[in-house]
Amino acid sequence: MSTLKRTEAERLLAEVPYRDRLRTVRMAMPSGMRPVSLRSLEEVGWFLEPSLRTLPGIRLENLADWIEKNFADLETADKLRRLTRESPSPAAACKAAWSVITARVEEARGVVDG
Amino acid sequence: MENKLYGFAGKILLVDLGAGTTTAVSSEKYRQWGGGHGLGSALFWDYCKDKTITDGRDPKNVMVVAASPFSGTNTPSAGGRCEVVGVGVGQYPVSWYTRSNFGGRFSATLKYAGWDAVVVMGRAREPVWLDIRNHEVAIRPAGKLWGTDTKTLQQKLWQRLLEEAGGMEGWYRLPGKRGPEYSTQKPAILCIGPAGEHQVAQGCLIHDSGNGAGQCGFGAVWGSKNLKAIAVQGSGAVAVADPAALAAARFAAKEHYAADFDNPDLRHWGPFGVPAWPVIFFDQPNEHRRVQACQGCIAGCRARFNVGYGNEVSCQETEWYSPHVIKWCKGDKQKASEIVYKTADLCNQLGLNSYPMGIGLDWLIGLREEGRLGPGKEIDSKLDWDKVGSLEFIRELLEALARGEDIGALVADGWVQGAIKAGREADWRSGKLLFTYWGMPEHGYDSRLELEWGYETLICDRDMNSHSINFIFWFVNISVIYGFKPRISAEKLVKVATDKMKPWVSGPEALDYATANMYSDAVMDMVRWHTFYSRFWKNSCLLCDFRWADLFNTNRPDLSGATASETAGEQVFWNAVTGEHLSFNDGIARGRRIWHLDNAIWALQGRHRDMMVFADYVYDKDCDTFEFPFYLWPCRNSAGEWEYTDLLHRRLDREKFEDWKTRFFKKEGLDPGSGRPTRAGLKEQGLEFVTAELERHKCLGREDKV
Ligand code: SF4
Repeated sequence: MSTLKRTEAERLLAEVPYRDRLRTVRMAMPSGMRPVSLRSLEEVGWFLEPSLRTLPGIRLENLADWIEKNFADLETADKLRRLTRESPSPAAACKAAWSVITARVEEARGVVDG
Repeated sequence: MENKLYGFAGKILLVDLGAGTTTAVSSEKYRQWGGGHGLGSALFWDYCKDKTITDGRDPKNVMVVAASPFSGTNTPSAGGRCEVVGVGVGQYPVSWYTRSNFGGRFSATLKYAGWDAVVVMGRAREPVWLDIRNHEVAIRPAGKLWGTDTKTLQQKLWQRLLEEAGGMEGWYRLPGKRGPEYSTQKPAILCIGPAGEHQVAQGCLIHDSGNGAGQCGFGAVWGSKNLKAIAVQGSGAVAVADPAALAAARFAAKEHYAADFDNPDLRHWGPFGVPAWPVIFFDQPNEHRRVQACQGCIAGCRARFNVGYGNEVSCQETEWYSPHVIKWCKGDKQKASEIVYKTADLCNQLGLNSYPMGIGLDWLIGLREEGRLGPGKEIDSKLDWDKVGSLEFIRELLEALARGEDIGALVADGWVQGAIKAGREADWRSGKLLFTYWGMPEHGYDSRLELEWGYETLICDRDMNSHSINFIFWFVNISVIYGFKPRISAEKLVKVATDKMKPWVSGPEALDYATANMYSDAVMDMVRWHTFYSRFWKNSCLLCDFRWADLFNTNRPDLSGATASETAGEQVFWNAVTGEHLSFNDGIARGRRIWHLDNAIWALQGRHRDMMVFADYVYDKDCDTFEFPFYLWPCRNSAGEWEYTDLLHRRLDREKFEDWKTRFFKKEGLDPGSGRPTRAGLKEQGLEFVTAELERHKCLGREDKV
């Protein structure tokens, strides 16, 4: 059972204004690093989804700060901080972060959809 | 044997579109330049009567499509590449004499038809296409072919040429020495789409489905010349000086350096030995695919799918629109895949270079979010920007860009020019519009970190797009991202790689990108080596950038790559094909001479060292705008030991970089005050023949300063 209130869940599913977007990159060998702007948690989930062909270029500590600041979601931010410290590699951390974010979005959607 | 032009077809085709004539000249005089770029520069010098032009759409521009001695042979990952040179369109502040390159089978077919290069001059009175069937050449009216996209054009021409063959089902007819010859091989066609016809800066040249000479607006050059296509059919062969040596080198390359097909090492380091794998960056449409490659490639990087779209597309074109598409499709990758690959197809069909689009679209979306772009806004656009990410939107946007309408009118002469026109110059200077050098988008490697990329681009004419050194970044950083110990230590890697660069560099410090070493002579020598390597072995001999130079290779016990090796080095293939006795370093010296010839042309176009600068943000801001986690590169630490070090959070120092340029000019015998050629420097390079023209235009540099 989620402890999220409806207003919190709605905020987690919202999009931040363009000026507050998170600027990340997608790493594609040998094409290079391509800028990607993220504005919602849902987009962060899609961005982090493991792919055989490219890598998300992101500092999870900064992602955690961004989530805390823009979505007031300390719980998710702390989880990301922890797994950044504990994961054996950045790729493993991104994969774990993908699960965390996806689960959080699902949870919020569950609350909003009733 | 020495006198025969082994490797060369022997003739160059001169096409004067203004006069409507075609002429053949011997390749003999141009042999010294190799092929591809060197050949193209020498031909440009001889046939372009006014080298001061700075817009490729000027009718005085001369454009060369050039094969190399390797074209049409089985030299690994070289047989199908083709070079294009001439004055470009859309660069900033000046569209330089420049280059582009594409793969496939065009250059090989050109050779089989008996031609080493095609030189296109003047402007046709009406749209035409060039029909090359072995030695027979005709300039033919394009009629209704003008206005078609590149796919339709190629299909129509294939059909027409079949019909003209006389109805033998599936067989094309060519003139042979002893009467007609027949082939089932489809003509190789290089053509433009609507973007080229409308002469927009993003107009490119397309061959087959997905081979494009993208950068520098050569599609616009053809459009300005009223040239829609060149179709080539050839039934000849390439005379190879020592076929047994060529076969032996190919086998050696396969056995010692290439991937083991049955048991590939998926953690391999080095470009030559990677397994064949499509270089596509978004989930492919499905698993039903065939490998596709340029002619003679040892490890193809393309694919064809049974769904009928996305065939042969590769690299950046499979990724630039994807973040928007994923959002539009709400994470449904299957649906997104269709849009991403159809978008790549659309670009190719319209003959549009997709390279600037990812960054360009990012900028436009920002302007729209700020309320500056939209119907009746500061930047007027009637496109439905609420639908960014959809196929519908991208079709509209690409059509607009290709036809120079709506937002396409703003950027028709280039993106930086468009920003300036819109009063948004500050966006370019600040990096908001991430176009770093020569009015071109950052390639994806920040010039504040990846030094050879930035420095080399500035001493040349365009985003240099040569990955030999850059592969260091990829193999090291991917290992660390996945938590693997790097396969090669930093110390070993720099040693193995710089051993290949000797005597141009003195030792491993040439690859030390630490802040303390970033403006050093050692790094400068590495940049010189790589520039000249690329000018000859890649751009002139047409070895594919994805596979060469092979500086390190974990398929080898000594970790030393195929480059310069005695059994499978570049020079081994060259000598087997041409019968020359060229050393690996002789090739680099040729590349240096070619670069100096190019620099003479740039000088005539008005280049001065003050123009050779990055966008301001490179000097004004640290590299930490984006969230990538680290940029590891081999560096020496304070104890003098080599380790992989994060280069993030630094910028370029203007003064120190200017000093670097001064030292570079001096080392190359150029006037350090202007960067222009000097009489003595030209003599040293055997380029005395350009001196008079430079002098006439007052473009010779001062000797006393060198
Ligand atoms: S690696 Fe790709 S681009 Fe290079 S020659 Fe092979 S197929 Fe062509």
